[in-house]
Amino acid sequence: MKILGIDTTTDILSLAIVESKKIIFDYMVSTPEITHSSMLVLSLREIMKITRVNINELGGIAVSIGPGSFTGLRVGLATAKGLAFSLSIPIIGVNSLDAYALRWNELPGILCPIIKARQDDYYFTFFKKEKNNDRLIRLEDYQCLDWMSINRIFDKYNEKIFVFGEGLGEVISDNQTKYFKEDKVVLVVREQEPPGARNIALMGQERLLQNKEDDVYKISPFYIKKSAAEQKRKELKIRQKDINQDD
Amino acid sequence: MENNKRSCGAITYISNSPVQTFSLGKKLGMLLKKGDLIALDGDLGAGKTCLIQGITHGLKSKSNASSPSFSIIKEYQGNIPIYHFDLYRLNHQEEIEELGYEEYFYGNGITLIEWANKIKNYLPDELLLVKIKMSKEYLKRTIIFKPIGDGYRNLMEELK
Amino acid sequence: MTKKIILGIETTCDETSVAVVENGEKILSNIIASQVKIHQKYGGVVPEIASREHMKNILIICAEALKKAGILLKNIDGIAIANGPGLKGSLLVGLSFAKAVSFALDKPLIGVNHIEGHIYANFLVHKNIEFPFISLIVSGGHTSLILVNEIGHLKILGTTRDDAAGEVFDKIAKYLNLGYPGGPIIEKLALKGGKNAIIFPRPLTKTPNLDFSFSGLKTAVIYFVNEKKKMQGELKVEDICASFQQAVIETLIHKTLIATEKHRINAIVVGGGVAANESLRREMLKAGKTYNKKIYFPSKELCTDNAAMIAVVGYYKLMKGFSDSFYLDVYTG
Repeated sequence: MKILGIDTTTDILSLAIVESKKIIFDYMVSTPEITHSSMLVLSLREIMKITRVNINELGGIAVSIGPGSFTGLRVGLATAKGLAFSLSIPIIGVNSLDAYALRWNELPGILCPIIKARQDDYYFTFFKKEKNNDRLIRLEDYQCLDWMSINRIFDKYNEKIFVFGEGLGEVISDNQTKYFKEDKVVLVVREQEPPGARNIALMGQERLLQNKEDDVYKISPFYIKKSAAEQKRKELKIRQKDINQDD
Repeated sequence: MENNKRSCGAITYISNSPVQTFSLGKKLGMLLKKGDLIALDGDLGAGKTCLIQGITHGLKSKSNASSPSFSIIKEYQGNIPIYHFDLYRLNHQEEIEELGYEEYFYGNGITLIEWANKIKNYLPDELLLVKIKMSKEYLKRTIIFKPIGDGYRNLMEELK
Repeated sequence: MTKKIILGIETTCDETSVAVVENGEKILSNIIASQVKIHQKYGGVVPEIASREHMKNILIICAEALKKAGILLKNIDGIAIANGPGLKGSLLVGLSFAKAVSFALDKPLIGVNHIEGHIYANFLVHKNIEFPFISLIVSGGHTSLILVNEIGHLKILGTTRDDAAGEVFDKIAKYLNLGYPGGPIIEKLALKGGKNAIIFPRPLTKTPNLDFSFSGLKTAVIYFVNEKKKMQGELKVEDICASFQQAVIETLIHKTLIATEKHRINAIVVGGGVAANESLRREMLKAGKTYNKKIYFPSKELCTDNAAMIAVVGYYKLMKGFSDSFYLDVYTG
């Protein structure tokens, strides 16, 4: 059964079709000037034509639900809903941080995917491989914090921590890299890569085999609300923005 | 038009007509650059949209900045993309999250926000605050600019 | 003649609506999220200014529309999608969904201008509208005069430079603490007030230009109310409502008539939320008689945002051989 994966977590559009262990295509395109909304279906149609996959051969749609780019995720999810509904096939929403971890799951230690969120903040969580098998266990909640706070969480763990993901580019360019312990935390820098539709599709496939698909009417983007601590931090900064106060 | 300086870097202007408000906006618009964000507050009828019309004119926008109260966000092409927010219809701060605000505030354009006091928690650390006060006199307005951050303080120096 | 069934989708701002329309004239279903008690089935559906609601609503509303129409998705002949103007996040949900359906079922995709939709809402009610005509579209988000020579071609003759007429109704109503939605409440109170009790300005009526401006009128009402409050005078809300409404109506009609004279056209097609206002309808019809113009209004339900009007435009465009590619994108203004 062929599963289509759609990833619009970041600026990079990714599409893939998998069939069991076979990857029929795994496509990534970065077109900052052209939005996902005008590229997605267009690209999908063309690649399916080239690889001679008929739309009616699809058995399920796996789609990234975030956290990540606001407009990108909407385009991906609304497209996936339209496809699933029209073809009467199941839909599976995959968390973008989970899919990122799958991409880097051969790294020997704790995995910390990060995705750029709001100003100074990053979406992240921690994963670790289970002993004796390849399953990934999530060690923390899905959270959204600034780099300094993320570092404080690093202190909880004794193992090496591998940090990767689209947010890493921001961490390095903002010179926040001086705020971590170099022997313990490894920044895995590669070309800017999204979680990737292949991983989305593979995770979707697995969930489908376990009959864990989503309700196509209820599936929606994954949100992480601002925590109480974040709110407090902001409130202290807000006072200076009261125009009736003098400095 | 009169202006005077306060010690915290704030500048106050008196405008005696919508034309003057527009003209002040135009002067400001010509000084703005990518990434700038201006938060405007003032009662209904104070002239927030009027000031913004001047700003977009100063940025050489081809479109007129009409009120986005209903559509909430309007986008214009000027020398730099302009994002005109109007949060009049927002009921809770959190609703701004539904609008993808980060992609605008931290994006490639200039952001102008009417009724910005509705989303205090979401405004960036550095910005230009503008408050427009009405008066007994029908057309007179007091426009106070308060820069938060060095970049905006420098901007105010250029405006004077 | 074979029947052509068009699925219309409208997500330009607050409302999620899906409709099924046959031959551009018969509404088989027109489901509007805010008006349906969907919450009983699927959880709260309240029109919010958020595209998150569109994401929740789009499929539910689409399924309801098809069910009510008794049509299977695979049997539709085209998908008409309102791809602007509006709020980007909201537009993207509708467009992405529409593209996916179009691709999956290999059906034509037709992008529709939301304002054009309001114009053609009239075609669902009136069968004899002839081209060319002048259209006045008045709502919370738009106030425009448009010259329509044929389907798919709109020439904007004038638009508001600041506030839309519907927006000013809502803002004045809020200022007077009258509740929401402002338009219908002001209209109701105006019935008991004097429309010439207070003479508010009729902005831009002295120029031959076809643009509108309502922020000056808004400010005039605000100052009037403030002055009255200061003098501790009695605030006759009904008079304020009636006089304010009269100023808006006179301005709208005045400019519309100028447009018809300028372009030597005798048909006026009105649409948008404010077109549901009875006083506007009555006065416009009166003006039509006086100046020999044919006046068309949609039914009240079709004045507010809905997908049936989008489907109508889609139908006519498709019949002309027109459809869009998957490059179709949204536009906000």
